[in-house]
Amino acid sequence: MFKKLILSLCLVLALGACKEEKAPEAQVKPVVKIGVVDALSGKYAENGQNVRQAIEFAKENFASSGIDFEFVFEDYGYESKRAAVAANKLIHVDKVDALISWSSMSGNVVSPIADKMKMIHFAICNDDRVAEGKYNFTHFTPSQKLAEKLVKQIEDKGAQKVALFAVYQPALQKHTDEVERMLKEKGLKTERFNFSMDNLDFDLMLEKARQNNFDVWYIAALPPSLDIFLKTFFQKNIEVPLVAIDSLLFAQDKASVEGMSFVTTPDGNKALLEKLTATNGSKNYFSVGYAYDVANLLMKAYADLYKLNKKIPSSDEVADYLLNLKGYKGAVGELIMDERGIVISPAVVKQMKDGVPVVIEE
Amino acid sequence: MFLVLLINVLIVGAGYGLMAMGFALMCSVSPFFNLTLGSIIALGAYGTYALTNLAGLPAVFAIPASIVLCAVLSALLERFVYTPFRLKGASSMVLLVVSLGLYTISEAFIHLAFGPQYQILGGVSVQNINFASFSMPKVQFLTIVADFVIFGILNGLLFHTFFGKTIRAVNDNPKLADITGLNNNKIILIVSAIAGMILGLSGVLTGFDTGLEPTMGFNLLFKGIIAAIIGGMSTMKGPFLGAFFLAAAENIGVLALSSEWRDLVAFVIFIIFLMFRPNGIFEKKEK
Repeated sequence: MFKKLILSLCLVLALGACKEEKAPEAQVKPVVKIGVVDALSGKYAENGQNVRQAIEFAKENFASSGIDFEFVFEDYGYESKRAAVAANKLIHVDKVDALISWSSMSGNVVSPIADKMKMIHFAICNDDRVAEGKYNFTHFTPSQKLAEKLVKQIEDKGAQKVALFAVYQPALQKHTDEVERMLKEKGLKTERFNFSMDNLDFDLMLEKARQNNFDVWYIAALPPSLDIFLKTFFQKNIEVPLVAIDSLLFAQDKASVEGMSFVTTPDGNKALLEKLTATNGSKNYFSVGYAYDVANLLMKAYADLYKLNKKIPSSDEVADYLLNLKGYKGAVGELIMDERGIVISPAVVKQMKDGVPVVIEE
Repeated sequence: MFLVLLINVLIVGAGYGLMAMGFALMCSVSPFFNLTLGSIIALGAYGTYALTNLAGLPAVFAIPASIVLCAVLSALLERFVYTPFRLKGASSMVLLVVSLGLYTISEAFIHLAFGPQYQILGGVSVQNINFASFSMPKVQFLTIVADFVIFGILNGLLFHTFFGKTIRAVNDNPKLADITGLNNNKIILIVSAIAGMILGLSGVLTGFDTGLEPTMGFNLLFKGIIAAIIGGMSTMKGPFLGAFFLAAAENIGVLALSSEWRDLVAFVIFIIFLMFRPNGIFEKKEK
């Protein structure tokens, strides 16, 4: 019995010694925690899940030296009030070093919180207001770039009068404002038809527009109003060209938009998209390339600054680094950071082919 | 433009009318704001979606099956939830809260089963029905037909049958009806099944016309309630015509102002009626 006890004690001591010997070898890398306010549930859960996937791919592919990254995801269900709760939880409970948010809605909520906390916030959205303050940055092809491309399409059609149908949604109203401004600058006549997100009756509105003989109709909407708009448009046999920024991507009935082209944002590099499809079968690439870029930009900033100073950089240092970013080769093209903290990236034209948007003009 | 306005009033009013009549019928025997009627509307739409888009059944089987399912669910809710509460003497407020709870559960169930996103029934390839120079989607034409047919059937049932008399008796004075030997619970059960069928049908038609969302039941029922209150609920004429009145007001508002004013117009009228004519346009004044 006594022998056994001695033997066990020796074994325990030996194991302990082994462990102690290994400890100095495995140097603990400092960890930078990045919180992500993402819509993992709700109406746009598919997009939100793909954003998460893209950020995780970025982390896998990032060759980090001397620093580790941890991404903490918090769901806001595409509800603004939940976005505030998610951001506060990430800051105060998870103690993250920086924040990423997806969509203009959450970006607008997180932006003032991040500014107050002096914390880096990179929003995947194209609302300029989100980038206000030293610590806020945005990455998404800006409305101005998208509108420029769309206005060129409208001019090519020889249009003089344009009907603008737009739902009350911040990003889509912003696109429409920009399109309207540019069309007016070029001397074209426009009329605006605004409607609420839950409008499901377009009969009178479309009839009113038809009687005014517009040359081109522009639609900026999301389901369900988008699908009802399209249904009414086709049911009335309206033969006016229909143009759009992004919106047609979201039509639930893909057959209804088959063959139609629209101005939108680039998806991202081919390898990323193939990996995403292989992982979860999704072909909905909206925002994916931007999410990948944002994660990479933040990791690059922290890693480069750490290499230089051998300590985790402060928010001010990271903000200065990001503001000086020029010519970074991102997943959605060559990126340039402007002085407001907005990453400028290009727009593309896509066409629906067999239910999938395909780039037809870079 | 006037013709378009008129046809649109007819289409929208018919949709509201079905919901208003279903609500008014249910209210005639069980007078409280039963929000689970919104769940029944959603079940009609999602039931058809599950049977056609997911199970692959033809619409000709799926639609009647969904409507029967709505009738059964409505009767079951009445039998196992509201009747026990009523027998315990629960007030209208208690019943309203119970129905709110059940509605929330049903909406959460739809979220879990079908997801929160907007879904479509049928597709964009609409089949039109042409009248001279005007055409309308088949489903909207069927909604108008269904509204008029159901109005006729309900009027006949309520005023030309013995069962109708018993419904009116329960509506007028439930205690007296009970004393005279009528089985109130059985009458309420049958009426709830009929109301379930009407609301289920309106859910199916709305699903084919404008698509499905988990919150659709409550949004639609609310318009039905407004129409029923505007028209008055003592006869079926009230909700039937009140629905067209509401649709006309909304559409004139859209034409004169803009589409974003649609709901504002509806609610302003609702408030005005509640303040100055709470019993509706067609309600007889109490003596």
